[in-house]
Amino acid sequence: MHIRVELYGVLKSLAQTHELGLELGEGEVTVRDVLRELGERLGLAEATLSSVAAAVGEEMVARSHRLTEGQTVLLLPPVSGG
Amino acid sequence: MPVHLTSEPLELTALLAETEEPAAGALAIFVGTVRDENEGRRVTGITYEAQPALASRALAAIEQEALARFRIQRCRLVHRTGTLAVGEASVVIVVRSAHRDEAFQALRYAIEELKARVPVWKEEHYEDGRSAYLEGVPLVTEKERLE
Repeated sequence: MHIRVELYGVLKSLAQTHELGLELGEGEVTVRDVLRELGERLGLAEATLSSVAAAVGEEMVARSHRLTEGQTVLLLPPVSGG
Repeated sequence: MPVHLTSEPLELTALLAETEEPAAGALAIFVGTVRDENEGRRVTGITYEAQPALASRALAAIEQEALARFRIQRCRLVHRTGTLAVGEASVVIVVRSAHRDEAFQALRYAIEELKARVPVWKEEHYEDGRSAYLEGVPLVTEKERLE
Protein backbone atom coordinates (compact mmCIF):
# COMPACT_ATOMS: atom_id res chain seq x y z
CA MET A 1 0.00 0.00 0.00
CA HIS A 2 1.26 3.44 -0.94
CA ILE A 3 1.01 6.16 1.73
CA ARG A 4 2.10 9.76 1.34
CA VAL A 5 3.64 11.38 4.42
CA GLU A 6 3.93 15.09 5.18
CA LEU A 7 6.63 16.01 7.69
CA TYR A 8 6.81 19.06 9.93
CA GLY A 9 9.26 20.67 12.34
CA VAL A 10 12.22 18.58 13.37
CA LEU A 11 10.99 15.60 11.29
CA LYS A 12 11.16 17.68 8.12
CA SER A 13 14.65 18.76 9.09
CA LEU A 14 15.82 15.19 9.82
CA ALA A 15 14.34 13.80 6.61
CA GLN A 16 15.49 16.86 4.62
CA THR A 17 12.15 16.81 2.83
CA HIS A 18 8.60 18.00 3.50
CA GLU A 19 6.99 14.92 1.99
CA LEU A 20 7.78 11.40 1.01
CA GLY A 21 6.06 8.23 -0.12
CA LEU A 22 6.13 4.93 1.75
CA GLU A 23 5.36 1.43 0.48
CA LEU A 24 3.89 -0.55 3.33
CA GLY A 25 3.00 -3.97 1.92
CA GLU A 26 -0.46 -5.51 1.59
CA GLY A 27 -3.26 -5.76 4.12
CA GLU A 28 -4.14 -3.52 7.03
CA VAL A 29 -1.90 -0.49 7.51
CA THR A 30 -2.18 1.83 10.51
CA VAL A 31 -0.52 5.07 11.56
CA ARG A 32 1.67 2.94 13.83
CA ASP A 33 3.06 1.09 10.78
CA VAL A 34 3.84 4.39 9.07
CA LEU A 35 5.73 5.63 12.12
CA ARG A 36 7.67 2.38 12.41
CA GLU A 37 8.68 2.52 8.73
CA LEU A 38 9.66 6.18 8.95
CA GLY A 39 11.59 5.51 12.16
CA GLU A 40 13.64 2.81 10.42
CA ARG A 41 14.23 4.93 7.35
CA LEU A 42 15.40 7.98 9.30
CA GLY A 43 16.98 6.11 12.21
CA LEU A 44 14.72 7.78 14.76
CA ALA A 45 14.83 6.87 18.46
CA GLU A 46 11.76 5.28 20.04
CA ALA A 47 11.35 8.31 22.32
CA THR A 48 11.22 10.61 19.30
CA LEU A 49 8.64 8.46 17.55
CA SER A 50 6.45 8.16 20.62
CA SER A 51 6.10 11.95 20.83
CA VAL A 52 4.91 12.32 17.23
CA ALA A 53 1.19 12.90 16.60
CA ALA A 54 -0.61 12.14 13.35
CA ALA A 55 -3.44 13.71 11.38
CA VAL A 56 -5.40 12.65 8.32
CA GLY A 57 -7.14 15.48 6.52
CA GLU A 58 -7.92 17.98 9.26
CA GLU A 59 -8.43 15.40 12.01
CA MET A 60 -5.90 14.19 14.53
CA VAL A 61 -5.90 10.39 14.56
CA ALA A 62 -4.73 7.70 16.96
CA ARG A 63 -1.89 5.28 16.20
CA SER A 64 -4.45 2.51 15.61
CA HIS A 65 -6.14 4.54 12.82
CA ARG A 66 -6.38 2.47 9.64
CA LEU A 67 -5.18 4.01 6.41
CA THR A 68 -6.35 3.45 2.86
CA GLU A 69 -4.42 3.33 -0.41
CA GLY A 70 -2.96 6.68 -1.43
CA GLN A 71 -3.90 8.51 1.77
CA THR A 72 -1.77 11.32 3.16
CA VAL A 73 -0.69 11.27 6.80
CA LEU A 74 0.61 14.42 8.48
CA LEU A 75 3.26 13.69 11.11
CA LEU A 76 3.40 16.37 13.78
CA PRO A 77 6.26 16.46 16.31
CA PRO A 78 5.82 18.18 19.71
CA VAL A 79 4.67 21.77 19.15
CA SER A 80 6.46 24.95 20.24
CA GLY A 81 4.38 27.90 19.12
CA GLY A 82 3.96 31.19 20.89
CA MET B 1 -13.32 34.29 8.17
CA PRO B 2 -10.94 36.10 10.58
CA VAL B 3 -7.25 35.48 10.00
CA HIS B 4 -5.49 33.23 12.53
CA LEU B 5 -2.21 32.62 10.79
CA THR B 6 -0.15 35.00 8.68
CA SER B 7 3.34 35.41 7.26
CA GLU B 8 2.90 39.20 7.39
CA PRO B 9 4.00 41.28 10.43
CA LEU B 10 1.30 41.20 13.12
CA GLU B 11 -0.77 44.38 13.33
CA LEU B 12 -2.03 45.02 16.84
CA THR B 13 -3.88 48.17 15.77
CA ALA B 14 -5.87 46.26 13.17
CA LEU B 15 -6.80 43.60 15.71
CA LEU B 16 -7.94 46.26 18.18
CA ALA B 17 -10.12 47.85 15.49
CA GLU B 18 -11.56 44.46 14.55
CA THR B 19 -12.52 43.70 18.17
CA GLU B 20 -13.98 47.08 19.17
CA GLU B 21 -16.71 46.46 21.73
CA PRO B 22 -18.64 49.19 23.57
CA ALA B 23 -19.82 46.75 26.27
CA ALA B 24 -16.23 45.92 27.23
CA GLY B 25 -14.52 47.89 29.97
CA ALA B 26 -11.38 45.76 29.93
CA LEU B 27 -8.93 45.09 27.15
CA ALA B 28 -6.16 42.58 27.79
CA ILE B 29 -3.40 42.00 25.25
CA PHE B 30 -0.64 39.43 25.11
CA VAL B 31 2.16 39.78 22.59
CA GLY B 32 4.85 37.12 22.33
CA THR B 33 8.11 38.43 20.87
CA VAL B 34 11.37 36.84 19.77
CA ARG B 35 13.88 36.91 22.64
CA ASP B 36 17.61 37.31 22.02
CA GLU B 37 18.66 34.45 24.31
CA ASN B 38 17.60 30.90 25.16
CA GLU B 39 19.31 28.63 27.69
CA GLY B 40 22.51 30.62 27.50
CA ARG B 41 22.71 30.82 23.70
CA ARG B 42 22.48 34.07 21.78
CA VAL B 43 19.44 33.92 19.50
CA THR B 44 19.43 35.96 16.29
CA GLY B 45 15.98 34.94 15.05
CA ILE B 46 13.31 32.26 15.00
CA THR B 47 11.61 30.51 12.10
CA TYR B 48 8.00 29.57 12.81
CA GLU B 49 6.47 26.82 10.70
CA ALA B 50 2.81 25.84 10.96
CA GLN B 51 0.55 23.17 9.53
CA PRO B 52 -1.78 25.83 8.13
CA ALA B 53 -5.17 24.08 8.18
CA LEU B 54 -4.71 22.45 11.58
CA ALA B 55 -3.13 25.50 13.19
CA SER B 56 -5.87 27.87 11.97
CA ARG B 57 -8.50 25.46 13.19
CA ALA B 58 -6.88 25.05 16.62
CA LEU B 59 -6.54 28.83 17.06
CA ALA B 60 -10.21 29.34 16.13
CA ALA B 61 -11.22 26.57 18.54
CA ILE B 62 -9.30 28.21 21.41
CA GLU B 63 -11.10 31.51 20.72
CA GLN B 64 -14.48 29.77 20.88
CA GLU B 65 -13.54 27.91 24.07
CA ALA B 66 -12.39 31.11 25.77
CA LEU B 67 -15.68 32.79 24.82
CA ALA B 68 -17.61 29.83 26.27
CA ARG B 69 -15.57 29.47 29.47
CA PHE B 70 -15.16 33.08 30.55
CA ARG B 71 -17.53 36.02 30.62
CA ILE B 72 -15.79 37.86 27.82
CA GLN B 73 -17.06 39.59 24.69
CA ARG B 74 -14.17 39.13 22.29
CA CYS B 75 -11.18 36.86 21.93
CA ARG B 76 -8.78 36.80 18.98
CA LEU B 77 -5.54 34.93 18.44
CA VAL B 78 -3.18 35.47 15.51
CA HIS B 79 0.13 33.63 15.04
CA ARG B 80 2.89 34.63 12.66
CA THR B 81 4.87 32.25 10.45
CA GLY B 82 8.20 32.61 8.68
CA THR B 83 11.57 33.87 9.90
CA LEU B 84 11.37 36.61 12.54
CA ALA B 85 14.12 38.83 13.90
CA VAL B 86 14.68 39.49 17.60
CA GLY B 87 11.93 41.75 18.96
CA GLU B 88 9.34 40.89 16.31
CA ALA B 89 5.93 39.68 17.46
CA SER B 90 5.21 35.98 16.91
CA VAL B 91 1.76 35.93 18.47
CA VAL B 92 -0.89 38.47 19.45
CA ILE B 93 -3.90 37.72 21.64
CA VAL B 94 -6.65 40.25 22.32
CA VAL B 95 -9.43 39.74 24.89
CA ARG B 96 -12.19 42.20 25.68
CA SER B 97 -14.61 41.79 28.57
CA ALA B 98 -16.82 43.87 30.83
CA HIS B 99 -14.39 43.50 33.76
CA ARG B 100 -10.64 42.90 34.12
CA ASP B 101 -10.70 39.61 36.03
CA GLU B 102 -12.28 37.62 33.19
CA ALA B 103 -10.06 39.34 30.64
CA PHE B 104 -6.86 38.28 32.45
CA GLN B 105 -8.13 34.74 33.00
CA ALA B 106 -9.17 34.28 29.39
CA LEU B 107 -5.89 35.74 28.13
CA ARG B 108 -3.90 33.30 30.25
CA TYR B 109 -6.08 30.41 29.11
CA ALA B 110 -5.62 31.33 25.45
CA ILE B 111 -1.81 31.54 25.50
CA GLU B 112 -1.39 28.34 27.55
CA GLU B 113 -3.71 26.40 25.22
CA LEU B 114 -1.94 27.83 22.18
CA LYS B 115 1.41 26.61 23.45
CA ALA B 116 0.05 23.11 24.13
CA ARG B 117 -2.22 22.54 21.13
CA VAL B 118 -1.43 24.57 18.05
CA PRO B 119 0.72 22.84 15.40
CA VAL B 120 3.46 25.45 15.13
CA TRP B 121 7.17 24.66 15.35
CA LYS B 122 9.96 26.97 16.37
CA GLU B 123 13.46 26.72 14.92
CA GLU B 124 15.89 28.99 16.73
CA HIS B 125 18.84 30.52 14.90
CA TYR B 126 22.01 31.27 16.87
CA GLU B 127 24.90 33.69 16.63
CA ASP B 128 27.28 30.93 15.54
CA GLY B 129 25.16 30.16 12.47
CA ARG B 130 23.65 26.98 13.89
CA SER B 131 19.96 26.38 14.46
CA ALA B 132 17.81 24.00 16.51
CA TYR B 133 14.20 22.97 16.91
CA LEU B 134 12.89 23.44 20.44
CA GLU B 135 11.63 20.40 22.34
CA GLY B 136 7.96 21.32 22.56
CA VAL B 137 4.78 19.69 23.80
CA PRO B 138 3.48 16.44 22.22
CA LEU B 139 0.07 16.86 20.56
CA VAL B 140 -2.79 14.58 21.55
CA THR B 141 -6.01 13.68 19.72
CA GLU B 142 -9.24 15.46 20.66
CA LYS B 143 -10.45 12.29 22.38
CA GLU B 144 -7.31 12.00 24.52
CA ARG B 145 -7.50 15.69 25.40
CA LEU B 146 -11.06 15.43 26.67
CA GLU B 147 -10.40 12.26 28.70
